[in-house]
Amino acid sequence: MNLKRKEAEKLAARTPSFEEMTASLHAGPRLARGMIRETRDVVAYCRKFCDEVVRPQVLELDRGLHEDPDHLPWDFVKKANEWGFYSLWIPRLLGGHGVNFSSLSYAMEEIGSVCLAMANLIGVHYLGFGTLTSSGNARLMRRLAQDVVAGEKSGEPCLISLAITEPGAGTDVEEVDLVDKANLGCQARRVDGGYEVNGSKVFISNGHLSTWHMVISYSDLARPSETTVMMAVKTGMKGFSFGRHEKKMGQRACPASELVFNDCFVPDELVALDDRIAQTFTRSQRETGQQMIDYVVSTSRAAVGAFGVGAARGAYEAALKFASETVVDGELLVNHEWAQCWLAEMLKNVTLGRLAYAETNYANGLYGMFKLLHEEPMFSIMRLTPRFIYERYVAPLLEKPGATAFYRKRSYDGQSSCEQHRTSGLASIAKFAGTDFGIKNCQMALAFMGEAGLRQDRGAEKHLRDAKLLQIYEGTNQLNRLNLFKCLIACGCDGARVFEEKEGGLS
Amino acid sequence: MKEGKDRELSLLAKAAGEFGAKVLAPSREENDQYPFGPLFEPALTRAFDLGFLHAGLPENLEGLGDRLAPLCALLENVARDDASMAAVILTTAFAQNILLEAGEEERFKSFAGGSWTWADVLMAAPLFRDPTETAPGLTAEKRGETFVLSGKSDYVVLGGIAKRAVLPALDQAGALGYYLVDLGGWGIRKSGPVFSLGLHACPAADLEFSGAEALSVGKAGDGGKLFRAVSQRFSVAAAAVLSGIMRGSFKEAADYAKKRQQGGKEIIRWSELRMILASMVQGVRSTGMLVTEACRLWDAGDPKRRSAALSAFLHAAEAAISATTDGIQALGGVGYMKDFGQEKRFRDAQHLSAAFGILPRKKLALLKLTMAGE
Ligand SMILES: Cc1cc2nc3c(=O)[nH]c(=O)nc-3n(C[C@H](O)[C@H](O)[C@H](O)COP(=O)(O)OP(=O)(O)OC[C@H]3O[C@@H](n4cnc5c(N)ncnc54)[C@H](O)[C@@H]3O)c2cc1C
Repeated sequence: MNLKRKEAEKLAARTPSFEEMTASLHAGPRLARGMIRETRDVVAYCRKFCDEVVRPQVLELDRGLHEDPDHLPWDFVKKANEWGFYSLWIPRLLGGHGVNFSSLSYAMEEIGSVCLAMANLIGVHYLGFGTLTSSGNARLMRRLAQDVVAGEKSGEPCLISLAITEPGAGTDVEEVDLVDKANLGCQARRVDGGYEVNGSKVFISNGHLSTWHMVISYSDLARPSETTVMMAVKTGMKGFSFGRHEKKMGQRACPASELVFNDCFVPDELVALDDRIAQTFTRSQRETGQQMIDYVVSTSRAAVGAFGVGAARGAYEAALKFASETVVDGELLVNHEWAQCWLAEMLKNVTLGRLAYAETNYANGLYGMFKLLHEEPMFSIMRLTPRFIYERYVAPLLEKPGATAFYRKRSYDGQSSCEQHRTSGLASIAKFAGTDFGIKNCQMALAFMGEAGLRQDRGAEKHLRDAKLLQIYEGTNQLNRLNLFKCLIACGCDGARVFEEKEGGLS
Repeated sequence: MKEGKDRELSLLAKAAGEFGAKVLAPSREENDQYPFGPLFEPALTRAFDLGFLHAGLPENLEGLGDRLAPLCALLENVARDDASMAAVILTTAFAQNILLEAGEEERFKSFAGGSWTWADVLMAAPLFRDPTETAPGLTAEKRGETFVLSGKSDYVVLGGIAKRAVLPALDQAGALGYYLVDLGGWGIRKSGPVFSLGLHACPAADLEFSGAEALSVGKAGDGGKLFRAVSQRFSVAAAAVLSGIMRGSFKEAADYAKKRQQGGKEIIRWSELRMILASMVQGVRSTGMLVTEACRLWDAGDPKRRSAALSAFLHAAEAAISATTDGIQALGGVGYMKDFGQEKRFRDAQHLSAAFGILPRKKLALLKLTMAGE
């Protein structure tokens, strides 16, 4: 190859950039070796959990929750607590088990392939915790993590939900570019010593089951992008209550709730982030807001992609089982050539979806939320340091403002715009590809299985009912396509603008 | 489908649409709930009074006649608001037509002539499951003039409610035939309503037979032929139901998009959302045209009517699955909730498409018909 270094660099920087194409290639050599073994054990542990806990009860539970839609499946929730799933991915530094973050996606695929509602119970809890992490507020992170760990010891689960969506604003609150035009109704008004919250949040996964709720609100509804407030609200706090328990098509074991705030006072110690804190960042408040959203959704969208892959896999496995047991036109279905290609297509969907979320997680390890903890020597230090050292020496440090400042500096100021766009763009691909594959495979399984696929007691139809949600939350798949355009296409395309569409022509 | 200048069809479509909107829509959510409550009797009574439960019969039996177009117009317009009722009509018509196709008109008249209520007319069948695709679990043994049935027949639509069923079974020689069974008779165990993906208000039951008496329908060994003849014709009717589901989904999506605001304007003003609606329209229009054309060919006795019917169904299945998926998407979070009709339409469309049996195998059947010049 007769290339000068400068020339090679220039050519490689051309769209799509070499970095965008090769996150795994860059991440591979830097990954701590222990991660492979640890991830394998996570996958194995999830399989055991599914065999012993989830699979035996999931269809009956689904039926029961149709019979009594208001029932809260505490036994199911407690099982995951007993197995340690709510603290498995919380860093050891904060009292959790500290398993590497990217293994969460593989876990979500495993559990999602059996029951998406259980995957959502666990996954959404980490969405809540991850959102808090994005604020960098080490003291609050420690407080909630301690509650989660204590809940595991006492047998009373402590889950964390994330509340952003409002009755009038769903897509709009997922995007800084849209939020200023949103029809918002939930306000956090600054008062002495904290905020007073009024309004409601809707469709909040795990709402009724959670102890803590990470609530995103705005102190000035006319300037939300500059006045975002992130706070932790605890179930039982004065002025906070649950409203409607939604009647969903699927994922019945994971309730979607309305959260109602009525002069709810949230003290400063529970405020993870607001405009006063945001002013201390290098970037503008608006840019910081977008960076934080990207920081969180780059991990959560990979996980939702993994949910989709789980659905795709569950459907594929149901179809394969059916084909191996059913004689059609005098021959096992699995021996018809067209059926072999049908199943191959389904497995392709599973595999491509998995590659997409895995690649996103490599990018998160290189540039995003996982960066701090995934590389050596940090990875090994975290595992080898005895727990009492954390508790005696490290924990008190987390209470100091310096810890928060360091974390924020490292996470945000240390991330370039290109890196931010790369992870966010890849995450959107993982999200809409994985969830579209999920729906596609569920529909392929039902087309393949005829009437057998339609019976609830055969399991295949539940995958479809559960999976449809995945194309809607964590940003609809349309919003994710637009985010991908914004992050990885618009920058190389002069004159391109997003969310500023002019009407005319065929409108 | 297009009713064109056919006044009779237009009137029928209008009556069916009004019936859907006024009688079915208000209690759609309630009727769809699991565990299933009592059947939606007031709606069935009204459907009976309007003659909808006879729709698949010839005129001399008080039906809409031998033409397929009126039945399809009726089904499509009922299905816009609730496909379950359309499935009740479809199943009954399918079972009735197996009897008629087998030349059993007199026998049919003996129990259905002068029916007084909907309960006398409803008939159960394992809908469109092709008994030649996977062998039925039921055997029929000759005992004098009649037969006795043993074994299982799974997922018999209306099996828990109807007084009679038409079921495929294998005789002692292994020949496939259809049998008429009085479901109130001895030797039959019925499961509760099967909890299924969709069409909840058109419930199915698993039936277990141990020596239940049955009458043979048509000639021994004619089961495959009977099924093909009736199911090919009724695949157009099923396509019409899917077309109705799609139309309902599109209407709800478009109405919502005109009201819901995001990004400072009604979402219909975002061109990506309009693109979703446009894809739905494409599905609605193309399916409507195929159903109309398949009806025309069928009613004209065209030699290619069978392949036209199957093409219409296969297209309708794909289009309805896609359109109803979009139909939820256009509503965002509320589309996933029971309070709106979209999630039900999504389940119903998928259900009806797969209730026909293994879908890709139907494509091979289409090829076979085409290669045979049909
Ligand atoms: C079961 C469930 C659980 C959920 N869990 C949570 C949770 O835990 N926490 C939480 O905060 N939220 C949660 N959500 C809310 C979810 O994130 C929102 O439903 C989602 O963001 C879509 O918002 P929306 O429902 O208001 O739809 P809308 O935003 O009203 O969208 C309706 C349609 O318009 C389209 N659209 C909107 N704006 C545009 C645009 N600018 N350009 C093109 N198309 C556009 C959308 O893509 C969609 O097709 C949950 C939702 C559900 C259904």
